[in-house]
Amino acid sequence: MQTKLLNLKNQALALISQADSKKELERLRIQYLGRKGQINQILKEIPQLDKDQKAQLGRLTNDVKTAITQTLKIKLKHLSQALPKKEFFDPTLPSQPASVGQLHPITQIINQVEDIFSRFGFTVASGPEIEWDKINFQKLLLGPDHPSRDTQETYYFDDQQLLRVHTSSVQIRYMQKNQPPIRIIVPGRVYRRDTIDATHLPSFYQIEGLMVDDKTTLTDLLGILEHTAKSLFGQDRKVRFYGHHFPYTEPSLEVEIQNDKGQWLEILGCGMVHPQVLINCKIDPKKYQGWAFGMGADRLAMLKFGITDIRNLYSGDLRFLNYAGS
Amino acid sequence: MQAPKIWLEKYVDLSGISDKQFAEKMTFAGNKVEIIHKIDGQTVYQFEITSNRPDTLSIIGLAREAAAVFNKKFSPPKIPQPTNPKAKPISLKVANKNLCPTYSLVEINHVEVKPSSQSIQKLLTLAGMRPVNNIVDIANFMLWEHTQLMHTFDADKIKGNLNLRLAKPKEKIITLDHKTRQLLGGEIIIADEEKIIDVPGLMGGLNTEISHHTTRVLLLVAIDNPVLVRRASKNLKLRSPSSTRSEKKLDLTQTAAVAKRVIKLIEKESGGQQSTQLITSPSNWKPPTIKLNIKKLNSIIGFNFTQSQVDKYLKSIGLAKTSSGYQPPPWRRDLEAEVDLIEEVSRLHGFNRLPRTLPTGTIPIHQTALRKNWPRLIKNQLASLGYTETYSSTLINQTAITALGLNLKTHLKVLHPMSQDYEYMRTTILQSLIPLIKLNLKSTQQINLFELGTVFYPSKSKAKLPDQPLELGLISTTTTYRQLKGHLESLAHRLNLQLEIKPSKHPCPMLHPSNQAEIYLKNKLLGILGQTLDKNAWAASLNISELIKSASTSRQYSTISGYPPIIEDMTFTLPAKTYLGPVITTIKATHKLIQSVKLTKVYKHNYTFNLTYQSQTKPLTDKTIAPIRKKITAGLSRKFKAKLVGKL
Repeated sequence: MQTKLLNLKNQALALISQADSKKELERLRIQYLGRKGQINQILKEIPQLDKDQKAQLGRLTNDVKTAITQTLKIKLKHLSQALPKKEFFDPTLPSQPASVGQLHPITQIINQVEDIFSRFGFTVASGPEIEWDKINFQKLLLGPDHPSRDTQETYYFDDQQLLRVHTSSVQIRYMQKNQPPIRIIVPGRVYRRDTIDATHLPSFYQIEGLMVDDKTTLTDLLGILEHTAKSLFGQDRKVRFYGHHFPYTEPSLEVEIQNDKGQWLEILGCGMVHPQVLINCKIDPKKYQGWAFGMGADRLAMLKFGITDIRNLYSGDLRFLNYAGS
Repeated sequence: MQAPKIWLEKYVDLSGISDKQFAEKMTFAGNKVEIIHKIDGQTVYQFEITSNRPDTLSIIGLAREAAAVFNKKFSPPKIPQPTNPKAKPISLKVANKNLCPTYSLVEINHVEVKPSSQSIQKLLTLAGMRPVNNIVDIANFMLWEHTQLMHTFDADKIKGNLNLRLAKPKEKIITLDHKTRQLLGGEIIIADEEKIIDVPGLMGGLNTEISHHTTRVLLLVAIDNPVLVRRASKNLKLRSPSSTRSEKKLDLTQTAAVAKRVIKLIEKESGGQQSTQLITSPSNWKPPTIKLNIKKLNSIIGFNFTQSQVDKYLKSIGLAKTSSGYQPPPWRRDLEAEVDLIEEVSRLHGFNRLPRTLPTGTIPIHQTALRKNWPRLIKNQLASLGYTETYSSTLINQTAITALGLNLKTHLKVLHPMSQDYEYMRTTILQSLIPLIKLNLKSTQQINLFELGTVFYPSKSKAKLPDQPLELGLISTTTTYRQLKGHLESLAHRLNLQLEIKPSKHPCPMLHPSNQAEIYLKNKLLGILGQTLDKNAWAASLNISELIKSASTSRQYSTISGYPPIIEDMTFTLPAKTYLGPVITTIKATHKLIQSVKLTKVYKHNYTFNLTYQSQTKPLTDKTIAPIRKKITAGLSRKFKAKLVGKL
């Protein structure tokens, strides 16, 4: 009998859900819940049962009645709701442009390089743009009379303070405060006292990298830079390394990548940190070694986004800013 | 450094090597070929020479490098044996050997000053020099061959003997370029008994210049103290091919050999004759012995060089192996320590031939390194609010300061600006942003810009660096004051901070005199916001360095109340010119059940506030709220003379 009741319930719920008119619903109500309805028919058999079974079946019958009643009620409400009237709708209306901001192309490059290096455990560090001569030059083995320190290219405020010419100054600041292992990436503005033209402004952005630990090698540097170039510009991009000279790295190298026209463009300088620089920062070169690089963020942005005049990057012209980059 | 191929080929055989191959392999080894010129059908390589390699600022040096790179034989020039007349040249007294560690001195008589031979003129022209006369050309020719400076004087114009000494302040000399130069003191000079005749390493004096009347030449081939030459070159603003060479560490062993070649050349080119002994004052230079631990080399490079590879590479550039290490040749005075030899081996092997690896090892955990990347978070937040990022110059011109009514004296100024457009350091990003409105209005009405960059405040003491905080600047032609304020508050909210925006105590002249406000964080003034003077835009600036000192992004979840809130409006009439901020703060502070107070409607002097009451612990009834309403009404009436519209 229980099975009968449950089957009856399932059948009723199915029919109610399929009903498509109020009339049909009323018919179903009478069919199941009416005085001569199917449930009452089943209940006629109750007197034949014992006391416990009677009680149990009574509860079940009530549950079934409630379920059917509820479902009828919901379906009735649903059928009574009037559908909205049809009206004319034009999906071809022009859109209202959303007001969306863009990150600057240099920021986009910096973010990408930071993300690439964060895969290798590098974190972002920074330092001041007006810097001491001692930190910008002397600790990096560019003594006051060093020939590669051309005063023509440095903006000074007095004999001690200047606008940093590279982000390498942050290497010094960071190493003076932290012992190896060190892995940092330092984006920042640097200044050169150059004549202004399509490729030279008084300041531009560099991204410095520094790694120092007990075993990292020159081949690690080559590997990570090639990985970076390919991550930025695509797998097939060719990269080459050649010897150069920076007083604060040895060996020193420069790196070129090939553009779409097959020309080689210099994008960064790098090398193994000179042991004397480590000593200057109280790091023992017998225990530790490392490498550093400095890449031109402006130049990378120009290369990546096809910008030909560096002055666009600093123009503040929305016609440029809203379309440059990705 | 321009090096004609035919000139290099005098000392190294380059046959079978194409221009492209030559340029590429020389570049890879650190001698960068920037351009390959074709001049009069001849190949001329233009090298970029790094400051550590003055030896390659010469044809012979580059030929030596090419020989090492291409595994060819280097054939040095033959040194002729001079005749040895008994007479002595004009004597030179060197005040201190440190000023001039080595020199050679000789006189040549019966010279005829005339144009040099075609072969010399041709090579000089290809190398980018202008032929003058045989004597000057020979000096330039030998400078280009050997990186060796020399000076030729008209010996008949010299009075008595010569002294090489430091200049005294205010001494004067008219140099070959006809300029009168006043010396600061401390420059190396050569003087005869009457006058200064030379600033060695930089430029000679007009008073002893070689002319068409010259018949007796005094030749001085010398190496001077490079540091003093460099300082003098800076002080006198005299840069020349001579100065860029003589300020570096040059070969101290070759003056006599070069002098012998010059004597021979002058005799050949001018018909003159050596008329005195060749006097040489040799230097005390001895080659250092440098140890190279092959394990160290391999651990730095990450490659297994063999001992024989190392020996081969070092021998190819002239190092001698001894029982205790390697001795560099005299032209490589840049080689001083093990690390220098590590560089030589790796560059000669070729960096492109090394394998590529990636770092292994421990990833560092430093407090300073684990800081949140706040600039990026802030930039992303602003871009999502519709602002486009711009970068401006931090160096600005005078007008950008004075036009905004700011004081020049509070701005740092660089000592030797290249242009008046880049002279002062900005003190606020608004100096960069405000002019951009006018620029962009030519093309669009919708301007929303931001910049996150450095601004600079002079330090009170020279012993401290200037304060250089990161500042955020915002400017918009599309927002209202309330929207801009909302943008700033949402940014602060992202950093878990609450800004207070108050009427300006010290109005800033860059902005509209009345329509501006000050931004505070915990009672510290961190920025301003307001309308531009032309009322075209609203702008704000905010000291981000200070802001992020208190910032955090971790936020603890607070349970949402399960009890329904009571939400209702109250309308008050406020006297004219009442600041609404304190009114709202007062309402909010009346009772802790008040969750929020929003201004929803303003009609004349009637202000409608939408209040939300909610409790975490119990359902609210009108009985609970009624006394709070009374308290609000009484409070506003007392503090602001506000009148409730309607009845309680």
